[in-house]
Parts: sequence; structure tokens; C-alpha cells
Amino acid sequence: MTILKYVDFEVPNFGELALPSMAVPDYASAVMALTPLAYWRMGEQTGTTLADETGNYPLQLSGAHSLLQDGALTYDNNEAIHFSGAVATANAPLLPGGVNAPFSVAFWVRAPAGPIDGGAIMGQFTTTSIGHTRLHIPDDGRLRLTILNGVDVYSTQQIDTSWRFAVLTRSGAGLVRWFVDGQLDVEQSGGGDAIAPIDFLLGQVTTNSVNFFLDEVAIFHHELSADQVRWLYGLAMGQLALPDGL
Amino acid sequence: MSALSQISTGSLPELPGSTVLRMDMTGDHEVLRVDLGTPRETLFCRFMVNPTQVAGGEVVLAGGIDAQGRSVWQVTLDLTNELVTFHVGGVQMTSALPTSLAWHSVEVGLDTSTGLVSLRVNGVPRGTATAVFNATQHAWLGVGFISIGPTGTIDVDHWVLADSPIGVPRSTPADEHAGDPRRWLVVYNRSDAESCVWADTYRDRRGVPYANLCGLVLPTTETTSAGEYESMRQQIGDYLDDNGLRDQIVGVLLGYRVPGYADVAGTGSLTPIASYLHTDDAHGLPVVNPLYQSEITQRPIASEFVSVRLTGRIDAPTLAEAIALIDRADDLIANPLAHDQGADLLIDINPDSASISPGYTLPVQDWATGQGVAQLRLPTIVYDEQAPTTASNEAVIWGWRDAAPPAGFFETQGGRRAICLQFDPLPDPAVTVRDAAATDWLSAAMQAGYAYAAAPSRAYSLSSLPLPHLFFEGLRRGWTVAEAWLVAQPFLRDGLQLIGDPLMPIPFPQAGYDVFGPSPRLDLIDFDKPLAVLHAGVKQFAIDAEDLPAQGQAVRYLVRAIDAQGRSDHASATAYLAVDSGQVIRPALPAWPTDAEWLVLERAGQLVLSAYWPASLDALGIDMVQLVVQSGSDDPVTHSAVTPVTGQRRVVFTIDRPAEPTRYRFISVQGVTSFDSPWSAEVLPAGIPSQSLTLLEASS
Repeated sequence: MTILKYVDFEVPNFGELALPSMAVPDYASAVMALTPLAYWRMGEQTGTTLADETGNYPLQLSGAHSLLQDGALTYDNNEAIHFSGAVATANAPLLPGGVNAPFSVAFWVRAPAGPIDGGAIMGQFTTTSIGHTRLHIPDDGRLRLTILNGVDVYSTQQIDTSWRFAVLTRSGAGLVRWFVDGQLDVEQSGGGDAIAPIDFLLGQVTTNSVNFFLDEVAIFHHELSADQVRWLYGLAMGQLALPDGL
Repeated sequence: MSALSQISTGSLPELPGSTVLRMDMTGDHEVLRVDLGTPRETLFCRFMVNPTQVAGGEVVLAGGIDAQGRSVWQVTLDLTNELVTFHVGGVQMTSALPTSLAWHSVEVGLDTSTGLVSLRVNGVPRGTATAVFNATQHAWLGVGFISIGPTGTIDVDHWVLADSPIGVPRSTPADEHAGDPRRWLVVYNRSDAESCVWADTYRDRRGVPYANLCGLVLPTTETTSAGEYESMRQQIGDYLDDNGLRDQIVGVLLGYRVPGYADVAGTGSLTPIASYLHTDDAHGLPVVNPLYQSEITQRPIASEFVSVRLTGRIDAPTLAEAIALIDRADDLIANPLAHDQGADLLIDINPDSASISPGYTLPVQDWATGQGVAQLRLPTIVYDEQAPTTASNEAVIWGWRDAAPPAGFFETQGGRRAICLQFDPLPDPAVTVRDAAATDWLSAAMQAGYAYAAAPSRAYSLSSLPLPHLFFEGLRRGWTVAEAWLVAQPFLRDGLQLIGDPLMPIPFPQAGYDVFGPSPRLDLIDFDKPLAVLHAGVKQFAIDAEDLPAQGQAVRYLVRAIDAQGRSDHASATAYLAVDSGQVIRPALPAWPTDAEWLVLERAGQLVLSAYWPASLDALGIDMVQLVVQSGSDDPVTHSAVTPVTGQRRVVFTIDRPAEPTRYRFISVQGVTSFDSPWSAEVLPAGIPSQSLTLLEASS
């Protein structure tokens, strides 16, 4: 037997270890450390205002919904919201409007039991006009980004009744990626279309009714790296990974 | 607040170092990392964890990360349900982690090439599986994630990463003998929560290392089938091998709620598992005991336990009664048996030599009726014609009875009760120690308060009977009960069993008197062969006729007092006895000379012959002192005589040096009786150098 390392903690200041100790943030702190534009934890106990952890873009919620649903994070008691017709409005555009402007949207989503009642779940959309943008969950359960008269990207993986971590990123070169559960699912170039500068909506964006659970929604005006996505997923699941650069 | 700190509050007591890694569940999440340099296809990670200071919730406290920084595996503790879980590649392996034990060894193994993963807790495999996962490059330990709920701290120590199985952290024995608890494997039953409690109690009381606690999932019944016994035997062997303890362990103790009997043949004839486990043999046959000693010589050392091991069993109807057996063994150490505590030996040497092999009974009778049993320095009652019917407060019973103890045999409960051994197997064999209503000798003795009890569980070969002189001599020398029990058995695995704490000795009293003699001179006394060994309560002692001097002779006896520590040098007394007309009298001999061939003084060319008495001659009743000379081969003749005056204690004769080799002696006359001093060394004539003379001038 070859002993690779034996630590009995007798040396002060963890002197037996070459590396310093590493702080492990909770999921919400890790998200905030990535400087989101807005971050809604969906843990409201009452009311119709969904707080933004950055303090900038609280959402006004109306329509059918249920607060206090079991959340997505393994080691966190923060709750989630069941959207069953409700919509939450930011009263501001949050997705960047410029061509090839990078952004990311990270969220946890799951469907209720039974057939998925698909539709758009967030976006900046009012009509079928150029640049109006939607993130959908079609009836087949895949994730989809559409920018009217522009990119249309489906994930290969499907949403089901378990919490899934979905991250959409767009690079400054117009590369669009769907990540599911911390892993890259699909990527497609040429997705740098301009997004219409209209209010950001969360929930039932169009007249199509949708029925799903949302948790921990964050919008970034930069592209999250694959390492950052994996780091966040691990923290959410209670699986320690090494963040980018460590 | 930092989650991790180093605390010197005490690690595993048996290992060097006292500092542990303390994880505070109320602090920030923080981990320690080891970069293994390259991805390790095969990795084993072991740490010791003490979760007894934390309550509720779940914590992820160890894991591995691949070269790309992705989580590969993790270990979580469920503190509410006392579980540990190994997560890897979609596989989960969970094991109980009862907090009745403070420290636990948790070891995970991963082989990327085969996909084989394993979880080992406290040295015992708890699961293996195959999974798909990446090789580990970084290992971490600390507060990775915690659920809402845990409060308190978790201590971790002895974190090891290796390329092959690690095992429990072993503690090296300091002693070659079985009295070292590091040489014992203590088996407990993970299927019974109280068995874990007992194991920790025993560990704490005896200093058994955690590595030597072998928790197995065993039947909760007292009797097992052949298959269950075989599984148990193999698990014990695997534990020794897997944890590198095979060469270290010399004894196996079966703990509370561990099965105690095996019905190997399925006939209802039960053999104690502790009896079987004396060897590793799979078969159930008796074997010759290689460590049997026909005469006790040296204490067995670890290297001699090659094909045989010590065994023991502690079990009882309840946990409290099982712990009481530990208490009783402790009490025998704290308050050793003594002659004045009503602590007697009851030796029943029935049956006589006609009914059992003389090879057994004759040594037993010799021991019981000779000086052997006296070495134990307790008042002794020997039954050799009929069996005793009661035992009021006997500390030790060695017997043979053909039935269970009659009603009222143990007249009183408790008292100084050390060990009760009964060897007749029928008609009431000892097949349970868990049934409080059992009436066999084993159960009855335990209920009567004995710390140890032995009895057979079935018929056996009489050649297997333990020999008491060997057993008690081992104990007298301070060996553990298990050692004494082993070396006294000519054959092993034959149905005999001993219940009680095998790691402990039974200290017999050391204080008493040793009587030596008869001997014509003190310097001829053989101190290896005492005439009698007496306990401290003896006030008088009758010398057997064959040990008395012949008519007209005088011999010396020496009585040496032995103190409580067995030391012989603190006091002694001599007696010089003669026989006159069949009566032993104490002669009034001089205090000097006392030894044969005493040296004669020479002063100014004359011989000075002096004799001294310890008291005045008149007080001693001495009427006259004569000087007797014997020249060459002539008959002794009286040279001169003096009548002492009142208060005189010394007589001196000054005479010329002889013309031929001559020797001298004094005779003290008391009425019609006279007593001779020893003869002097022979004095040579003047002009011939004589080594028999002491020249005062030359020495002064």
C-alpha cells in the first residue's frame, strides 16, 4: 500500500496540507458572486412581489400561482413558486438589446405530474415582432429559445417532474448554448440577434397557458462559462466541484 | 466564522496525538483539499469521524473531484438517522453509524478501471457496486454542505489517502502478552443496538482500540446454525485480514448479544462458539492444544499464537448484567481476594481416580491436598469423598457435580465471588447465559455474583478437562483468565466455555508465610521448596512427623513472612527444634556459633572459643556449658566445663593449640537434657597454617 497522504491534524494551522482551506459558498452567494443583473429566489412566503436579490428588479406577480413550494436546492430551505397561469413583470427590459450582446439566464424548473402543458415561461415578448424573445418549454419538455426572425435553439434534454438546472448563455460572438444540470447540452452559432427592448416577463408570457415550477432565476449580462455553470450546479446539489481557476 | 479548527480535546485515545479537525456546523462552509497530482485510477480514502457532538440534519463532509474540477464522489452523514452514505456515479451505499460508539472509521474505495466502488465502515465491508466515474485528482474534507438542522460539531482525524485498502487505524501493542487489550478483538453484534452500547462500554473500560472493535451483522439468537457460525467465523477472519490485525490479535472476545453457541450437526448438541474459535479450523472437531503446558513455565507470548487463539465471552440476560461482569472483574482488581474476607477456595475433586483417568485426577489430588493450592493463600476446603451441598461465600469453586446446583447451594448472593468452574456436563448442560430462569451451573454462578463461570455445554472427552493446578498457577502468576484457561486445557474445541472478562487477571492474595526446613543449617535451606505455604491468617502450624528431626537431633526451620506485594524480605524468623523423647522442644542454643564448621579464634598463640546466648544462661535454664573436643579419629571428650553465674550470656574457653587436628563444640546442659552446638572447623597443630583459625591480631 502506498500512502498518498496522511493527515492527523497535529501540525498547527493545517500545516500538513499544501493548499489553504477553501470556503464553500451557498448557492445564492455563489450566484451573487457572479454579478447577476437580477436574481429572484422565489422564496416569498406571502404577497405578489418577488424580491430581486440585487435590489434592482422586483417582479410584480399576478394570476394563478402557489408560493411555498419545495425548492430545487438540496441543502437550502428556500421555497419555489408553482406558476399555473400567473405572470410576473419586471417593468423593464432585462435581456440586452444589442446585436451579439452577451447574456445568460439560469433557472431551476420542473413540471407537475402529468402531460406537460407547454408554452413560453419567460422572455421579452408581446407580439410576433422582430426581436421579441421567448424561452419556452414545449409540450415535449425540451427547452427552447426563440428570437423572432432570428435564432431558434432547442435543447436535447427534456424537463420532467424533477428539478432541472437550465442555463441559457449567449456569447459576444452570438454563440448560444443550453446547459442542463451543469453540462453543456447544445450550442448553436449565429444567435446574436437583437432582442426587443420591452419589459421582461416571467411565467405565462403568451396566451398559451403553462404549468410549471420555477426557482432561483437569475439573469446575467455576461456569458457564464461552462465551469461556472458546473460550479453552480454542484453547489445546488451539494456536490463540491472546483470553481473556475482553482 | 470559520467552520474548521484544530482542537486538542482528545483524539482516539489509543493513538498518538490529541488534535482533531473540528467541523462547526454553524460556521461557514469550508473544506481542506489535497491535490493528488494526477488523476488516481485507484483511490482509497479513510477518515475517523466522531459525530456524537452534533444533532440532526445532514452534512456532506468528504469528496473527490476529477482533473476537470467536477465532483466525482462524496460522503454524507445523516445525523438524524445515524447513517453514512457514499455517493458515486449514481450509486449510493449507506451504512448505519450508531452514535453509541464515538469514533467510526469510514473508508471508501474507487477503481476507475473496473468501476468497482466500496464502502467500509469500522473495518467491515458495507457495500460494493460498480459505477461509471472519473478518476479522482483532488480529495477534500470539511464542511462541504449542510442541511438546515445540524447544530454542534463533528470531529475528524486520521485522514488517509492511499492506492489500496487502508483499514482501521491500528494501535501497536506494547506487550507481548494477552493482557494488552490491543491484542484482543472484541466482536459485537450490529443487529442489536445494546450490543453496540456494550462494545463501547467495554472499549472504554479496558482501553481496547477502536480498530479492535469488530461489529458484524449477526443473528440475534444465542444459538446459530452451522451456516451462521461459518459465516461468523469467516467474517472474523476477514476482519483480521482486511485490517492488518491477523498477527497482532491473540484473543477474540464475543460480546453481549453475539451468538454464543453453534448447533453444527443440527442435533441440538451445542458447542460454545468461543470454544470453536480457539482455532481457525472450519471443522468442528476437538484439537490438541499446542499451548497446553503440563507444568506452568512461561507465559505465552504473541508469536506463539500461530494456530491457536484465546477466546472469551461476555453475555447475560440483560445489558446491565453483562456490564456487571465487567464490574465484577474490576472489583477483583480493586479489592483483591484476601484470607480474612470469608473468601475461601472450595475444591471438589470428585470423582476419584477410579472413575476418571488417573492422568487427570492424580495431579488434581496432588495439587488440592499438597502445597499447590496453598500457593493461592486462601483458606481452602477440599472435598474428595463427597460433593459439597452449599457454598456460603466461596471465592473460588472448582468442582465436579452430576447435576445443576441444588436449591440453596449458593447460600448468599454476592460477596467475594471470583470464579466458579463446574465440569460435569450432564444432565443440565450450560446452553444459555441469556435465560434468567436457567438453572445450570453457568447461569446459577453468574446469578450468584461470580465474575467468572465455566461449565460445559455438552458431553466431551474427559481428556479435555482443564487441570486446576495449571489454571490457578497461571492466575497466581498474574496472567489473564483467558491465558490461564487456555494453557490448562489439553484439548480445545470440546464444549467447554468460560464466561466473564477474559482480559483481566484474578489477583490472589500474596501475603502469608512460607515455612522452610528441616535443615541442619540455614545456608542449606532450599528456598525453592517450602515445607509449607500459608495464608496470612495462619497463627500456628503443625509440622508433619516426617518433617521433624530424629530423636536427639536438632534441625532448623525458617518462617518467612511474605507481604502483600509478594516480597519476602521484610521479616523472617528461625526456629531450631530438637526432639526429646518424642516431644519437639526448643533447645536453648547459643546465638553463636550456629553453623557447622564455625571458625575458631586464635589470640597470642592460644585458642579462644566463645559461645553467646540470646538471653542469660540462668534465664534459659542452662545449668552448665561444656567444651567438647575431638582430636583426629578419637571419640569426643569433655575438655572443660563452667557453671554460669546469674546474668551471664557468654562463655569463653581459652586453651592451647592442639597437637593434632582437632575440632570443638559446646554442649549446654539443662537438667537431664543437653544440646549440642555444631562442630567447629578443624584446627591444625601449631606451625601448620590453618584456615580454620581467625587471627585476631592480624585482623586488628
